[in-house]
Amino acid sequence: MTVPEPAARRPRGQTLGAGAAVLAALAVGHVVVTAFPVDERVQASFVRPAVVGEPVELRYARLTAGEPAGSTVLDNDDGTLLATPGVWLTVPLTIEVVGRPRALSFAELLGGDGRTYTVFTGGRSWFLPGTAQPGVPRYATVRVELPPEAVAGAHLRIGSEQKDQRRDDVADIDLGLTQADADAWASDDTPVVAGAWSDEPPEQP
Amino acid sequence: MPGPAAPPDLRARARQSGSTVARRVLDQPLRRIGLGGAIVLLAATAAFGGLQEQTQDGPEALTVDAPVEVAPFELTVHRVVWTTDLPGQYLSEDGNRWIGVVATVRNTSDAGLLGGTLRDALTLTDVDGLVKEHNPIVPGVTSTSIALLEDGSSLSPVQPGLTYEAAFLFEQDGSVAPPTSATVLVQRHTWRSSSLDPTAAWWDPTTTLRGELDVREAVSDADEEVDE
Amino acid sequence: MSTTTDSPPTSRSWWRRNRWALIALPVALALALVAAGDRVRTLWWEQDLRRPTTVGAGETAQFHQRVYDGAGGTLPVDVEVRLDGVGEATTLPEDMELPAGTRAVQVDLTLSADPDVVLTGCSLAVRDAAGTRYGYVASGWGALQSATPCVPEDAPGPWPPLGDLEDALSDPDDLPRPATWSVSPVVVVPDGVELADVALWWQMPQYVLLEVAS
Repeated sequence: MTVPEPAARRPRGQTLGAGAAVLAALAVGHVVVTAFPVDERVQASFVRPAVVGEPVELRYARLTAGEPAGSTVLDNDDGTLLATPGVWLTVPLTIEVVGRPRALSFAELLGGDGRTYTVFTGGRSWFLPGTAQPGVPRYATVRVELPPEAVAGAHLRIGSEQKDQRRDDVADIDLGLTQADADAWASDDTPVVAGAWSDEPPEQP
Repeated sequence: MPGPAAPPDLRARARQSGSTVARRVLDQPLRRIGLGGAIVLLAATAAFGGLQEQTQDGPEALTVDAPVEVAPFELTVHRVVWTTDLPGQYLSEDGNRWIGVVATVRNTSDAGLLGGTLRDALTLTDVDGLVKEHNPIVPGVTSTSIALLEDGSSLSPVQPGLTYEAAFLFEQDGSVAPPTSATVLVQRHTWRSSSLDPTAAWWDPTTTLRGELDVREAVSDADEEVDE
Repeated sequence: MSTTTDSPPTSRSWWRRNRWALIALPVALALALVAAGDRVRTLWWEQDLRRPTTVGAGETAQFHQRVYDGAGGTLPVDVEVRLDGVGEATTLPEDMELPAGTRAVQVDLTLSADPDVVLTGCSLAVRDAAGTRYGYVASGWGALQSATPCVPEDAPGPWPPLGDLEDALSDPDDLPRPATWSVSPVVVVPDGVELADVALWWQMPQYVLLEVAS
């Protein structure tokens, strides 16, 4: 069988070689991108550990957490009482912002059971300190509902931006809670009071 | 011959090769070769699951008082009632009424969720005169609010590890007669990242259960239904 | 091995052959960095006070800026500002309760502008020598001050255009703003802060920096 000679073009070998080089480049690129998963580390927040009663220095504020309190009933200090199928946990915070007026909007509770309990800027579990003036301490309370088994070993995280805490300071406050605290709160129906933010220090009981 | 044909030199080679098959194939108009090729390709997908039976034909039937897993929630629908007066809830017009789907809600994921995801998980349909407009992203009509039975507050955020008793509230126009039945649609979500945002979230509410339930008037002195 | 006094001919000719590309390379690199860094401008540079129009104590600043009006267009801001003084507020705004450890500072400003310049959306702050900014808060510490601290409360002058709502919401009986006026907003600052300057801005990053007499 005779076939007419095809028109002169690049030798087969060169075309195959170029194709193989492209595939090799793609493969190497895939390995480079997937073999070293540093995205999370590069974008991770800077976690600043703290305990109750001691100030923690963040880029944008100095925070001090007060003694946590809890019960099965929450008094929002605005006339409403909230019940819960679990327990209420309240943590008073003293916030001194640095540099210029700032509003902190991120809060989250890492339960002792490993689950994350969401704290929003409104609703049932919320934290709204408002815009604070530098040098004037702002007093605000975090309130969150959670099951009693998550109380022991819970950590409270506080940050600046509600939606995005990457690459910025986040305070991680060990609340020092035990199962005894959880049991005491679960059997208590005296409302725990947690009001709105204020620049006046809370009254000492 | 109708339609464009294969290039003449290719056909000449086919004729010269002596193969009848090659000559016959290349003598067809291109359109038929293209069509034939596509059919062969589709048929080949049969080897890779192309003819497998779809596992989910449509939503299953929703039964009252039976817990259902609709990620990220576990919902148990108890009853559907209507009432004209609910303390703490405000109707947009006098004379309108609330249709409440009473359900037990549990967040089965590892993190708290905002009320918007729960709102898309249970919707109502086949009821005339619902005030809220249908949102094309979610099947059925979403509730105006989801109230915790114990204290009337709006259920958001929904924390994991807790069992909430709540009522999904839908406002209905007062000029329409109260319904005697309604279809409750229950949706599950998918945990994935979206094209714009690499962080994962709960997307794509898809109906997995539907049930036509009786609707009756709420009995005001029953302490399980509506509370102060 | 033979030794030659001049470098191999192919090496010299490579440099020669590529000289224009090599010259253009650092320029191209710089341009690439600038183009890739456009977000540095919008997400960082324009989010804080960066470009001051500075004047010394008692002097008048001439400030010009084109600000976005929120409807896709721009508005001119042309105004003269003079800081008359910064001192302890002689009378606190009504109902203001100062927390412990703070004091109220009154900022006396005199401004002049054409009556048709939109100046209502301004922000004000006092700063100390370290650059810490103490913001003016209209509704705070129990008091309610003007939400437009740079213009007279009874004659604020024109507002940014509202588009279709313009006719429905604007009041033809509004007093025209005078050509020159004075305002005295009160800012709450912590005790012990020594004020260095006053910052006034309509849209970051440009602002008026008025030094405080020391």
